[in-house]
Amino acid sequence: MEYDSDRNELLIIDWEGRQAATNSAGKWVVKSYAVMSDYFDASTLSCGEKHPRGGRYFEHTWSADRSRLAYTTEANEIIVENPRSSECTASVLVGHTHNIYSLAFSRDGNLLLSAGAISLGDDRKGIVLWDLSRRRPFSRKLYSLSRRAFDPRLAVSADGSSWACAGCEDAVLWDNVPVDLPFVRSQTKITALAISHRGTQLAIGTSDGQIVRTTRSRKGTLTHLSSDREPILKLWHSRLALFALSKTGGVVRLDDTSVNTSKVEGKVSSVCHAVGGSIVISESSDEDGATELVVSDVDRGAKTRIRLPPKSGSCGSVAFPEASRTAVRSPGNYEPLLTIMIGTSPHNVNAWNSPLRAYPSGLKTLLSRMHISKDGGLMAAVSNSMSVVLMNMATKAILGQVDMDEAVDIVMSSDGQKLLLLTSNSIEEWDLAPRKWQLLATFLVLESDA
Amino acid sequence: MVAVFLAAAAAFSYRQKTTADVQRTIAEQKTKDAQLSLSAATAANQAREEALQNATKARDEAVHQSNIATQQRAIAEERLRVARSQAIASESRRESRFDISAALRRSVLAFGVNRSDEAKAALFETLTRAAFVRRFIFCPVGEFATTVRFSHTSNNIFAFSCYRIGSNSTIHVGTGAGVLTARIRARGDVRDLSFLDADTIVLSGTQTLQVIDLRSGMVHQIAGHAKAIAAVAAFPEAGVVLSGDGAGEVRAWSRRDKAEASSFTSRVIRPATGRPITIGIRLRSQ
Repeated sequence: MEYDSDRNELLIIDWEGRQAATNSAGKWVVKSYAVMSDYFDASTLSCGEKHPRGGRYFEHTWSADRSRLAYTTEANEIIVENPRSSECTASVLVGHTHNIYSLAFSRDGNLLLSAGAISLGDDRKGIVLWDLSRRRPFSRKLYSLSRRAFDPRLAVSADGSSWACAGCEDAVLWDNVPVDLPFVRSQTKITALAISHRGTQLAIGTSDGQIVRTTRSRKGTLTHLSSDREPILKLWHSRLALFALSKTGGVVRLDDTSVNTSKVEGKVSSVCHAVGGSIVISESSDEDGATELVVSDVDRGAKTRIRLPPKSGSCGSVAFPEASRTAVRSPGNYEPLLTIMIGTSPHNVNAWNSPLRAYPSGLKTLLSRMHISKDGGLMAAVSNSMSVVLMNMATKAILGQVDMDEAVDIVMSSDGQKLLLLTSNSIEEWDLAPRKWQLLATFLVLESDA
Repeated sequence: MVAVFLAAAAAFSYRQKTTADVQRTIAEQKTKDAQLSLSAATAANQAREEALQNATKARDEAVHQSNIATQQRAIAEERLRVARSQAIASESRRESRFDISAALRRSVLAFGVNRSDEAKAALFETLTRAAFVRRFIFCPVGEFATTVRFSHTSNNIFAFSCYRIGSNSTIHVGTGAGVLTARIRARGDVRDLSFLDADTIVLSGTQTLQVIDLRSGMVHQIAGHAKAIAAVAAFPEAGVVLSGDGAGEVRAWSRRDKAEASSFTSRVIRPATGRPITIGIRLRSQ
């Protein structure tokens, strides 16, 4: 039976038909309505073709505002769709191992409950509480984006407590709040971001060589303007100082009392460089055309050139976790990855194939936007712009891979505990600590009689 | 006489001398014996020292060997744990394709045995597959989960029923965080339930309308239907509960005293047709 409070009308549904009972001055008047088959009209589904409704054990329910419809399929999935939409944009909820008997939305439509078999085929029964706003149990949506720039970028503090995004909603967002930048003209692009270790200070680098620092209580203050006015490629904090690397290789070291400038060799590629402490790693070619990594220590003014093996190809991404003294380079083609020990003599360069490509039939992958935790233990990267990969760098084993619609940018906190992910329409935060995964997986399953 | 005396004296002296000789010989013999036993004792001491040293060496060697054995055993045990963890993790990843809640439990087990890469990968994969899941909540073994409903209030309180065939049902109440807060025994096979307000749940399952008062945890049984109730729907705004039974009779229930859960009275709004009400009653707000 359904009750329409506006019209004060009640629908009574029995096995053969339905009737309407109208309450008029406290008296229920019953009239015949239609037949059972009209009770649920499958043609109203926007996902009816892609996800056909179930047969004998069919269940469905509407959210209170009618913007969401949940229904079951023959494969015991629950499809949550928007029936008002002409296109099928559905969430497919997989978790039941046999028939589903009952569905219910919470009042705001964000939670869904389903009752039925949930383990061992049809043997163990119970309910599933679904949170439609959280696709992955280890992820949390930090921000829903309505628009973003062509090349937005993310930053996260070393402890993972604070994040920022440039090019999100035509502004710089710092922990969900737009940053006021009076010194930056509207046409100027933000090309680099860095947050101090505990998230108290945000540094912004622009396409015309400005470095702006801001705290939560202050508006952005122009700290430095580089003499060459070249785009700032990277900003990073190390040992109480802020470093900036420009496209032409200029490095500025700013601390409370002084400004030091130095230079690394040649132009720096916007994707293929890595920094850690006072070390800047960039790439160039020697006289014979072979590829070299140029390792510059801007504090000591020392430079080292490390020749890479032939056929190393163009560069996809470089990461340099400072504490491990080991740089990792992924190529822009399907050649092996390289691990390069910095500071040893001779330089130890090892080639290894990503286990993502361990099977000859497997999809070839290009790793980009590679990040490695400070201790060199965990690597996160975007594979083929479509999925996020986590890898144990000590054993070179894949810990996880998640396919996304689009992974625009990722950053990892240097302790390796948090990953920030910019997708086409949101900013997500992932918990990367396996101990957290264990707690989550433990929490996800509950015995009602325990 | 003198001669006799002298002879006696000489004899006495001789005897004395002989006694002294004997005594000296005995003493010498004793000295020799003592020396012999001293040297024997020294030799014995040395032998004991040697034996002790040998024993200490042997013990040290044994301890050393035992330490190596312990280490090797620890290494072997660690390898065994890693292998076990890998095997459980592999099973968990296989299982995650068709039984996510079991795969979650198994991946936790794999990680507990050893924090192997495979266990971490199994945890990550099963969590990824458990898309949108906030919690799996199991009914006790052998019971059916028959119905689940949220309250109409915004605090996301929900209730579900676990039914043991041929027996009775248990109504579990939980919060939107997936935490269970109450468990109430009810009669019959509760196939439908509905919240009238945050503290009142009405149930199907018996000829009587069962009303749970969450404040007291009491279940009130209110007579009305002649057949078992199959469907219930509470409409908080109207303050009305509707119930349909196995003969197709529909009754409307209202409460005289809001504070008194047992003060419901009902009247028939649709007489029995012989066709049972079999589909749960739902609220349609628009």
